[in-house]
Amino acid sequence: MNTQEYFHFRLFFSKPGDMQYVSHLDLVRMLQRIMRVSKLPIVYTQGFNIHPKISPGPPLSIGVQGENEYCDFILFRNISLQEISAKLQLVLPLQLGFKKVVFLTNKQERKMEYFKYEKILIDPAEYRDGFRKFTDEFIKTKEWHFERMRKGKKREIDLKNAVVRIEFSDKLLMIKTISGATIFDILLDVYQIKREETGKLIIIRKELLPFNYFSASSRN
Amino acid sequence: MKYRPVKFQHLLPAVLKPSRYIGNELNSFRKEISANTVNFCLAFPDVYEIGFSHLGIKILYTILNEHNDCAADRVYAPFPDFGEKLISENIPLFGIESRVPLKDFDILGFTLQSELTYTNILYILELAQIPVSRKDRQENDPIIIAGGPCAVNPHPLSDFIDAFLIGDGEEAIIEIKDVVKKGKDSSRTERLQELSKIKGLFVPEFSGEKKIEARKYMKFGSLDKTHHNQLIPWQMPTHFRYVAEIMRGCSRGCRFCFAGYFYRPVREKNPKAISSQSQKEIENSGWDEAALTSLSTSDYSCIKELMKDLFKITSENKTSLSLPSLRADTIDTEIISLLSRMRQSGLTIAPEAGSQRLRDIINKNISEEEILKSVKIALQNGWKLIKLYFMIGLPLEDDSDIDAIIELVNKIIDLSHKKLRINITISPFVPKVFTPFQWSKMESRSDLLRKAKRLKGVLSRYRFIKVSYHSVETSILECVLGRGNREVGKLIYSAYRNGAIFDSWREYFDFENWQKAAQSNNIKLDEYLAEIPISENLYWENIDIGISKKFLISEWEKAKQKKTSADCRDGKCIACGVCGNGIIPDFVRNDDFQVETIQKL
Repeated sequence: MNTQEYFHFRLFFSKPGDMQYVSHLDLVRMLQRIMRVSKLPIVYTQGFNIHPKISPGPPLSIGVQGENEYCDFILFRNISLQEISAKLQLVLPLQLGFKKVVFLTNKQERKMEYFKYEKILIDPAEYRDGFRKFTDEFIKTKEWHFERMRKGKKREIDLKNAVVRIEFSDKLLMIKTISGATIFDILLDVYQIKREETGKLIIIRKELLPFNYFSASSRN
Repeated sequence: MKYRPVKFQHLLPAVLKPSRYIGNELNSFRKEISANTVNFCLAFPDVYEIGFSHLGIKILYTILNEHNDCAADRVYAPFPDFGEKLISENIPLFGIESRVPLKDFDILGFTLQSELTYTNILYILELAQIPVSRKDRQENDPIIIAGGPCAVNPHPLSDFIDAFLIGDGEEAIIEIKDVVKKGKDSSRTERLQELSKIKGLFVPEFSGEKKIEARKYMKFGSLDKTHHNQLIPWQMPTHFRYVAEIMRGCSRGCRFCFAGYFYRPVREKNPKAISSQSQKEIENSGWDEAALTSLSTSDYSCIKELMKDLFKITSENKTSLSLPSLRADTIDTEIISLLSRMRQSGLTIAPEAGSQRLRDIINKNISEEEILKSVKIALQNGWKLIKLYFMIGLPLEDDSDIDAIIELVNKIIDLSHKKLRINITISPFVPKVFTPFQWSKMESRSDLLRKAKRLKGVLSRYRFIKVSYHSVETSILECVLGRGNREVGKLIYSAYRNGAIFDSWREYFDFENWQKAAQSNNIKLDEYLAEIPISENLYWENIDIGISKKFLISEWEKAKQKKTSADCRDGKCIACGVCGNGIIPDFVRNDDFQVETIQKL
């Protein structure tokens, strides 16, 4: 039985601009590499392909920028947040933006299911008028049935359950569940923009929100 | 407006693997492209993942960017889905770092690694909105240069390339830069004329029948070459590892191998330089795999000492080390156990031929005993995978040689008690220029298919054996384009117009494009596959890579008599012709890691 004590940390960073085209897997590989270079007392995996043991947050789709993405890592020695931040800032590529490092005390926080919601901002560019119109329509509608294929099976989702908050001023701001429907499902079904046409939009995941963020009354 | 970066990101959600096109790699120079510098764009005519792994472009990229008066960017062939979008939106192809259109650069330099990428060169030119035929180029069009191994026969591409650089590019590229810098105010024609005066440059418009001598970079082994940190990509390339080139050239003299002759003389890098550069790179850049590359890594004079040195560095950093291109006759227990500690568990052996008779003809001097011995050592060390490479259609081959492949594989199976996984790759032999077999015919399509089918049928019976074989049609194309003349340029152009691109990709290659092109140009492909009489003038006669024709003829004759030739590393010079005028092998010796050169005997 391993009596080694481990210390869990979370690195927050942004994935802006051109980085939105880097896949989640490629991002994870890059994060493994920088952890290696950081010279922090990182815990590594065992087995044939030895690499730093990291747990990334929920994946960002290609075409979506991230402002507060995270990646968890484990140290076998506790050192100050100041020192960890300094070492990571030295090695994190400039293309990614260092935000902060926090110490995770609570096991619940480490679970994938902890973050249930994502806050998305979309700058619609030339589709501004359409966005206004479709957002109003979506808000007025009581139920919005949406069908999609997942793992070869047809699944039905009520988008009104997936989208918890939505508003449009000159940009679209929405809070939606991470699982259920993707941003692109909504763009297609509500705003009638196909995936390959989304290049002119600016789509940013502003932050991830935990499962207990909402009380039942705050939905619209 | 010249030098203005293009906007293309809005196209990316519609294409596969969009990070192929964003550049932004770590350690990239990202120099500004402006009128103040001589601007190069180095082009690899295949998709990003493949092109990125190529070391040659990275070497030239580093050399150019370390000079203040020039800037070098890179470009890779857009995959057809992105290419289509560029065409439909009228966006010219651009450098991956600067996003400046290729047509705004002074020089666009292609590396010719394989004949199957020739149509992609036309594809890139067309996407860049640069005239595909050199005769159509205007004053402001970049100068199109091509280098690399296939440039030794420049004639098939002479209609499309303004200047070919034959041989090593490290010094010549700066001479090219200086000519273009001086000639900024002269005409394009004058610049080409000046380029034709540089040693190693073949300029179709001006060089005529002049003999072009290949460049050889003799400072390869020197200690003082500073090393810029290797590029780290976002998109996973085919080889994602730190690459240390430890040696250039090969003295073995396998008669089918073009690279062995082209990269002569053998030049080894100082082991201390390799170790210290590797250590710096692995620590600073976090590579989880490092590879030592050369044509024949186990021939490197200090291979064991180097491996021991590197083992220390790699184990401290949890990096694995791979040594491709090991030879079965130089593998011993010590090397295998060192490799095991570095997490290697697959052995690659290239007997090429199944029978000793045929191995002697092709001068691949490894015996069956050596092959089986290395398999045994690998097994004893718990290794689980053997990769075997064979060729079919070799000169003077007969059916008994094919049977011999089967017998050899069976012996390996018996030795391993079916505990090993065996991956076998079978490739059709293609006669290559500047080798003793350059006069040989290429075996007929039907015979090649018959032999391949026989091998696949017998060997695929076992669950633990996987057989793959290279397409016969692409091999035929390699032969035609490799041994071709200027007429072949018309073939390339027509095939491209018929839709040929990405010919090395199974999903894109269509031999019909080439057959139709041959028909419409009255070209008989079979003529380029036939045996060439020694008395006939070769199309590439105007290029000199240092190997004498007399030597190649004598090797061809020796092959017909089943006689082998020695490795000149063992001390006996067999007068291939490359040495002389300051060109000699540069071996690193064992004693105190001192660099010593061996005089020609």
